[in-house]
Amino acid sequence: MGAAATDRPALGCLDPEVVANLGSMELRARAVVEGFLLGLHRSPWTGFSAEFSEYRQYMPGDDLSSLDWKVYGRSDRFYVKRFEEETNVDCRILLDVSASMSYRSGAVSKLQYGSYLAAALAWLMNRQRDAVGLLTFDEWVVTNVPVGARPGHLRRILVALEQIRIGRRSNVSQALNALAAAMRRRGMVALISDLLDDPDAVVAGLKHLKFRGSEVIVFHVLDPAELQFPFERATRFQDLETGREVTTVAGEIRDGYVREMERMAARYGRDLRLAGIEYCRVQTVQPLDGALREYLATRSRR
Amino acid sequence: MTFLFPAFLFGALAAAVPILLHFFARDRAPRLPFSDIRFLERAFVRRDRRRRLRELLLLALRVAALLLLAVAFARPFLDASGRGRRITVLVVDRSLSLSAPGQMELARERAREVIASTSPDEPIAVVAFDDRAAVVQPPALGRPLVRAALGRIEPTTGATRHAAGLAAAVDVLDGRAGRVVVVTDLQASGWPDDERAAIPEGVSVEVAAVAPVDRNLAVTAVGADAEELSVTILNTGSAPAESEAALDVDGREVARRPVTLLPGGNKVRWDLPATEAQVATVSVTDRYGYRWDDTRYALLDRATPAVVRVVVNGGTLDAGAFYLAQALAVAPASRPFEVTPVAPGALSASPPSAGEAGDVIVVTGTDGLSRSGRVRIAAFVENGGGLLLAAGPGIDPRLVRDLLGESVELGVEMPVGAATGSRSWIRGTRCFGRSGTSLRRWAACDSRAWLASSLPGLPTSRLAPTALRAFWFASIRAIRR
Repeated sequence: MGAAATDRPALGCLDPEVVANLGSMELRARAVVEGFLLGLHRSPWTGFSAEFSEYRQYMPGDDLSSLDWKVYGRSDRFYVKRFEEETNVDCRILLDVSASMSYRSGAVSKLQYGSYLAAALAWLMNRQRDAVGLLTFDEWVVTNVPVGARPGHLRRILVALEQIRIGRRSNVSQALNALAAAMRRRGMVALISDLLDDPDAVVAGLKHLKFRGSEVIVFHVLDPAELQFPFERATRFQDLETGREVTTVAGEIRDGYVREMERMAARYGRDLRLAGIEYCRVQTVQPLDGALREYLATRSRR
Repeated sequence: MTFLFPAFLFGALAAAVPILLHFFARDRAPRLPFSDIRFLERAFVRRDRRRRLRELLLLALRVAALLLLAVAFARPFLDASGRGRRITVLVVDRSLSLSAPGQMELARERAREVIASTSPDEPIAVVAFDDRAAVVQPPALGRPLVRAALGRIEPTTGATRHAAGLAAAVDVLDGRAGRVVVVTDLQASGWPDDERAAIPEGVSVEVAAVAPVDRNLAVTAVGADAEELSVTILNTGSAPAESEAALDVDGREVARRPVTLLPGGNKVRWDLPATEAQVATVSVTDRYGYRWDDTRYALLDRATPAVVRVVVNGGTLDAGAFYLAQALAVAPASRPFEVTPVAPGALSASPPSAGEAGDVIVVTGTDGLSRSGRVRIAAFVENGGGLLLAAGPGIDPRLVRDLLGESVELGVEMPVGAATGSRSWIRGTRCFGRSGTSLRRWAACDSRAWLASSLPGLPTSRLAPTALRAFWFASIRAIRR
């Protein structure tokens, strides 16, 4: 899944604007995840595990090894035995809180969207019994919630997400390298960022993580205005991170700008996939289920 | 290139407006925080080169448009004066002395010779002068322009003043070097003793002389008496001249005859026609000399107004003789009437002069007419003056009898079947002539008679040329005695 576009109808509780109106980060995470799971029709948590989950009538195509022969012996019917999957994967969520993430053209900024996504992922991971950690960064690491699987740990992460403050300039590669150096166990890393940094450095940092054995998924969060550049008149554009200004007639440079943005996104997608890293581009107006679906797909490959 | 209205060039300052807008209007672009301007800058750098070029081109066009507008309003034109070069100024005499046939053409010919001898890259200006000077053509390289300017010069009636022409030439030169060529017939009167002309350094003065007229006929004097006109015609040439003299009276030619005019003054006489003419015009045909002195006029002075003294009670016209004055003013007569009101009492103090042909005394009132006044009126009539006695309410018949004497008869006709016994009518009162022969006696009237009549005027033989016709009295008030 290269882009976050989904063919599923958006559920109301996954709409970023609806989520933003919910009271707390915990509520937002719960709403997103539960809503997402309701739409899946089958549990994502089943798999090979010691924890029994349920019986289900055999359907053509099911693995015959999952048939419960004892039940067949008693009832002369085929049932498939399902187990809850138990994991002990360390999942780390990296959230970019640099100043560029505060940009918004609609109701939800990139940082808000990223934080909702991070909360939903944390909730999902926790429910899957994975250990979850959170790391926010701009040019340095701002917040670091260590990996943990205890029930109270999720709350700690959600509180940290509630208390996010806009940082300064971004340096994604520096955060990635710091994380790679600190990781003791292989695990899963979800990077939520607008990736407005040096692409070579960012890709190198992500490759470093991948090299250390971690499964990496990148959520490239962008505002629709950053992609479509819907401005027309002469405008003084001020960089949110550096404060520099460029005065230009927006309508005249739109084509060139959009081309540059597309080129950057395409480059990230190409380089990261070549490195075996999942790349998911999301826009702040899109429902959050696309990102979650991407995560689950990545998670299932482990 | 120079400008007709250089003040409009200040409008070029408006070109600063688009320039200022170009540099300061950018700051009015709204500020918009954006996530990352790196891509903007990349796109901007590429696009902005083109855009900046386009903006600069647009700015240049706007500025150029404003500048051209200002220049257009200033009305530029190419100056063909050859500024900075040596200039030739032709100063052409157009005074009266050049009015003789062929003289002006001679002067133009001299000027053309000067033009032909002037270098083609040397501008030429033309100044015409008599007792004043005017620049006919500013300095110009185009020879057709200069020749056309020469063609526009015509002789005038002005005197010759060379200093005026030279001063205008110096003004045209405006401090530049050049030469002044004076084309003139060199009249001696063109340089009065007290007149000077200052020629700046670097300016030379040349004279292109036109030969003066060697013979001229002029009517120098016209004298008129009652019957004859005496004319003096001067021949300035050295040989007798055959010519023709003509007499016009009141614009109509009455006589023309050939004359042989010897050098010097010649007397010519004409009998005046017996008319009431006012102006006589004598002219001589002069084929070689000045035309301005070929004609002379004389007033015949035959139209002295007829003096009408109105003896009126009160001494003012508006009191009793207003209608008389109005009627005389519009009376169709070859001589005007001069109506003067006189109070009866003042007649003795300022008596009328002895009666002259056409002079009349009209008596409309006798209040205060003294004896001496009556004697003077009688003497006026005896000397040829006319007298009109208006039998109106202001007339005292006793004074009239005294005035006219016993030899004058006054007639009174009573209207047939009219009026009552206590009223009588007097009518047909006419003029009183020198001998009174045409007058009718005014007999003793009834003391209570009404006077009402029309007075036909003053048709006396003596006053025939200035007869008072259509003199009409109306509304004569009755008097009761």
